[in-house]
Amino acid sequence: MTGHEALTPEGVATARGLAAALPDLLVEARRVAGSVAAGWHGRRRAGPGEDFWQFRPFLSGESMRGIDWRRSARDETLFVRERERENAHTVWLWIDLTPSMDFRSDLALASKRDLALTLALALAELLSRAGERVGLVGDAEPTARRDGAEVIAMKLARLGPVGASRTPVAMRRRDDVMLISDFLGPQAERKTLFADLATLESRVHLVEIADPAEESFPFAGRVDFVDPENGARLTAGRAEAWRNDYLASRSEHRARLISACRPGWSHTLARADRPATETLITLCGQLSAPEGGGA
Amino acid sequence: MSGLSFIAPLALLGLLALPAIWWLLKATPPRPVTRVFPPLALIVRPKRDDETPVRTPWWLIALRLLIAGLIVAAAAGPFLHPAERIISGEGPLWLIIDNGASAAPDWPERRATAAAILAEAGDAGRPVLLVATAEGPDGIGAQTTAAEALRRVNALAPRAVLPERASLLPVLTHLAAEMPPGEVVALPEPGDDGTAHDFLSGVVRLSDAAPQTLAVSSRPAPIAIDGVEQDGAAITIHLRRPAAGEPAEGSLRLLDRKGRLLDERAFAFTAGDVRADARFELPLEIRNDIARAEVAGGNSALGVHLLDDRWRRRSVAIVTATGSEAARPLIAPEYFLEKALAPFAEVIVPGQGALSEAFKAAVDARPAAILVADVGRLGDGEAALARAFMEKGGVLVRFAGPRLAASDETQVPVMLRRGDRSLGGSLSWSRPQALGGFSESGPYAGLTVPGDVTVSRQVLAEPGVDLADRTWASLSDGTPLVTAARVGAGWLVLFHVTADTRWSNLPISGVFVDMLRRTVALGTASGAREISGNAMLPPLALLDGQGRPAASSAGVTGVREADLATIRPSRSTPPGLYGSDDGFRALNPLRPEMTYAPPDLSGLPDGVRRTGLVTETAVDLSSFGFGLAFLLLLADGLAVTALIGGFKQRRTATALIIVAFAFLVMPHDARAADDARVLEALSATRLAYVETGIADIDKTSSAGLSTLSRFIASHSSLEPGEPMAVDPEHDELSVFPLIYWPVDAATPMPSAAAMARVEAFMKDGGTVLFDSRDDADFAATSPNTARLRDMLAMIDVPPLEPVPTDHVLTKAFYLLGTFVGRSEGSPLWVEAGETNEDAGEERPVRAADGVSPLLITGNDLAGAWAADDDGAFLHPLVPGAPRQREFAFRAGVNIVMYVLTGSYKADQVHVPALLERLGE
Repeated sequence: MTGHEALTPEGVATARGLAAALPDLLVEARRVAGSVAAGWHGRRRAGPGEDFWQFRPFLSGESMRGIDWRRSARDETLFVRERERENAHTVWLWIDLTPSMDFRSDLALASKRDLALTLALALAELLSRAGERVGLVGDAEPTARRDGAEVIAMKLARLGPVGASRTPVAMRRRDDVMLISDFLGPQAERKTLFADLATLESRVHLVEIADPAEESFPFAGRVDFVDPENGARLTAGRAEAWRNDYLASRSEHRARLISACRPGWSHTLARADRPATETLITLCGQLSAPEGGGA
Repeated sequence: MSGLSFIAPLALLGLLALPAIWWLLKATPPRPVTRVFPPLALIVRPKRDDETPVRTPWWLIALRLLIAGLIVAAAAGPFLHPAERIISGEGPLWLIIDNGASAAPDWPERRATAAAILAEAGDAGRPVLLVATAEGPDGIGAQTTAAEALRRVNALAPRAVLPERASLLPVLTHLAAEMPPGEVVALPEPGDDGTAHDFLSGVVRLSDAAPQTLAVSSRPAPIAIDGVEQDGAAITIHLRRPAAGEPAEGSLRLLDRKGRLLDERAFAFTAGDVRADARFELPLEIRNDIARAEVAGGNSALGVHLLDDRWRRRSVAIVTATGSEAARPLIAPEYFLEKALAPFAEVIVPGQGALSEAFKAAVDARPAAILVADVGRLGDGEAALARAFMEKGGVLVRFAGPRLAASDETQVPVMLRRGDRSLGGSLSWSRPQALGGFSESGPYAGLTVPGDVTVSRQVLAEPGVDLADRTWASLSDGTPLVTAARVGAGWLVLFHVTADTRWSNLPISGVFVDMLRRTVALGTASGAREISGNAMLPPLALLDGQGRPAASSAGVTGVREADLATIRPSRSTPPGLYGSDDGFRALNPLRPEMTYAPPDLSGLPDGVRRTGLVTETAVDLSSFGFGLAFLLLLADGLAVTALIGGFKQRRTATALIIVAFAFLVMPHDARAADDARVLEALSATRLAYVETGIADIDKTSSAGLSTLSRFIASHSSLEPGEPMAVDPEHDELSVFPLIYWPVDAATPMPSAAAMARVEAFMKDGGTVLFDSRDDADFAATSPNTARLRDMLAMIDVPPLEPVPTDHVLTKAFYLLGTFVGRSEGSPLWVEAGETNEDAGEERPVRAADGVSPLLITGNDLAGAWAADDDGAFLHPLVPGAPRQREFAFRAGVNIVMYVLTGSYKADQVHVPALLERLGE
């Protein structure tokens, strides 16, 4: 369901809940980002790119193609026009806000949705502080503003959940894409999305949000399981007997997810019983890692 | 007979189902816990999914089996009988029950004991001879089966007299000769007139070889009233108990003819004393209203003493000379006299005819006293009448005046001097004389002498030897002011001044009222209608064994007035009132000379076994069983909640607390619902009933009012809506015109606040129809009426009376005489109208809007009306007289019409006159 479709009461309620949670999560994201930002610097240096960076005196031995003749004509020194290194470009965020994300077991510190939002907003904060452009999948333009986290938060509140099938319209080649989800949705949709992203040669970072209950299956006795997405029910007579099968099934599912990754893509597991900072540090490392295939 | 028994033992077969229940419980898994789990699709259903039956703990299964077992056992109707066997012998059983007045208080226990004995006899198949001693020789029937005897025992009621045993023994002797008794069981009553010992020892002799048993109640005999005495100032009621023993106390109540409480005083028997007195100091006007004295809660005819109409309010006739006074009514003598008499007597002014006619009319009215204001010489005829009147106990009070002073009247207590003396006149040297004092021997003794009463003129008595004795009051110079002489049983009294203020200011003094009050009180023959000594008085209102009014039964003969003082109350002349409404005499259960003692059981042989009554009736255990099962069920619910971890979740606990709070604060939140209710109630004129909480009664009330509403709609232009249930504790009452309130002692007592709301409802013009549903007159004692009285004690209730024949209720729609329901024994009580005490006069038509705020019946009206949707009536009628159902509906229609239209149908009483005027 997207914000552009007809308004349904459930949709409005979800959007309201989301809008109510966002300010708190924004604060939380700032806190998380603040603890991470110190060791992570921007990439403001000259390099191949499209945008002007600086003029510098021509050094002998350099290719003359780099000389900016218009600038050099103004005095007696030859100047080379340097462009900004364009290795960061734009980071697109995609946050899964389906009902399955709105789940929190007794073991978790926060619900999966809150963790996802915190991570996304913290990333937006970090990236915009570093001068990167941050965009939201489904939105037209990425933002380069310093207060990127607020902008993203407001857009989230406006756009509401963005379906995974939505084509990333404004995405350019080799952009970074953060997919924050529990990846429990329909596999076909996911496959299409991955194929699209692969076509764009995007560097995709899968952030799999997992509740500890989903990881460990801590149930026993007679349990009636309910799927929050479609209301399906499954009754286990002795749930403890089902655990091993479930865990096997789950790891198989994860393996399938990882195997779907193209080269250069990353997969990060974010457990809801771990602080968001941990995951954020990992993600930052992956963002600043040398790009396998790209520029 | 002893131990545990079951009403429906077959129901115990249900216990056979317990193993099946056990198997089911074992196999039933506990309720699953619901958990939201997003990766549901990842869950793989194992090939073999073990359910978890083993997790139901054994103690839970045991608990549930116990619950099931309890329910089955309770459904079988278990009864616990503490009593042991009473009878032991073989052959015919003689059961001798005393059903005299002293057996009345514990009659239910006696009957239960008899029933228990008869049940044992029935089990053994023994024939029974039932002897009810107060029924006389006719009460000894033939030997019958135990079942037949039980029917007779159930029909027996205690009589208001003590048993007459003397006549029984010969009959029993005769019977014993034919068929000797196999066993004798006697239930002697605690009060005896001295015949018990002879009778019982006689019976014991008759049944020499057989086992004999006496079942004696441990309850003390009822306290009896054996006399009421009136002296000048107070009424003394003499109480008696048969056996001197522990100190005892109680209270004594005085009631008027309508059963209203006039006064209640405590009395106490000291230890070792058989007699006690209760003294009531009451104003004369209240004293005259006393119709009945009873020991509160005595529940026996012996504790009742009836007072006949010799005690009723005195009437006083005023005779004045016709003359110019009639033109100036406010200063006429009769005006002053009427004002002075009004507080305590009923004043009769026999018209303004000639003196002789007026005087004759006054005597014919049979007053306590005749006041004659300033009449000169009475004619010979009048003098003879006056003398006859005084001989019978009347008081003739004469007042002086110019005419008397000028006459040579002889009908005065003392010889008078011709003329009068004037004091303080302009030509006189003396000053007006003050009132000097009252004679110590006269009736005015003790009255305070006021200082401001002065006499300026008076007639003077000739001095004589007896003048001082005859003087009741004198002036300060010693001249008599009031003189009196005894004439026969009555008095002739002369006030030496006028009855108006011409000669003195005595008539406008407060002491004048007291003097007249005491003077009139001397009239003993007052009020009572003259009854010829030889006239046979028919029974008017008789007492039953409990001291309640009873219907006249067969075999009751009248009593000759002359015999009343000596006759002994008996089966044919039971205690009660005899005569007619115009004049009646009381025959009381006990007189001072009669014996009232405990039965002398001492001389009986040792072989006679003594036992007690079955005072504890069998205990019904089924409600206990159901209740325990319910509690265990709750415990089971808690246990299951605990088992599935419900208490660990704070949300569940919060929800529980919220639910608990919701129950507490629901009345406040229910305002919106209340408004909707009121709107619905106002949408049509509808009847309402009070919900008792007993499903059966509520269903009957609802169905009854619903059927009645349909009946009304089909018979009149009123179309009531469906009846509504109300709860006087919470609901708005003022929107209903009539609320039907079935009273049941088993329901919780309504709170004082609720009764205050009901009172406000009644004050605002609403009417409540209370129905005790037990065929009991409101004046009688039954658990339901006692509850009703307790309820009404909390609010201000107007005086009540059974519906008089000319009440609007009897003609509001149908012409009705009685108001029957499922039963027809109880009268309908309404607020008493302003009555004219004289029963002889026709009642005035009730004042216009005086709709009675409450109606009380015991006839179970709703029970008669109630029908299901198909029109089949839910309950049978009790006598089942033809058209009783129709009349019950008519009673309902009349009540509803009366409540809705007020008393405009009161005009109906004028219909004959109107028709006559129209020339019909």
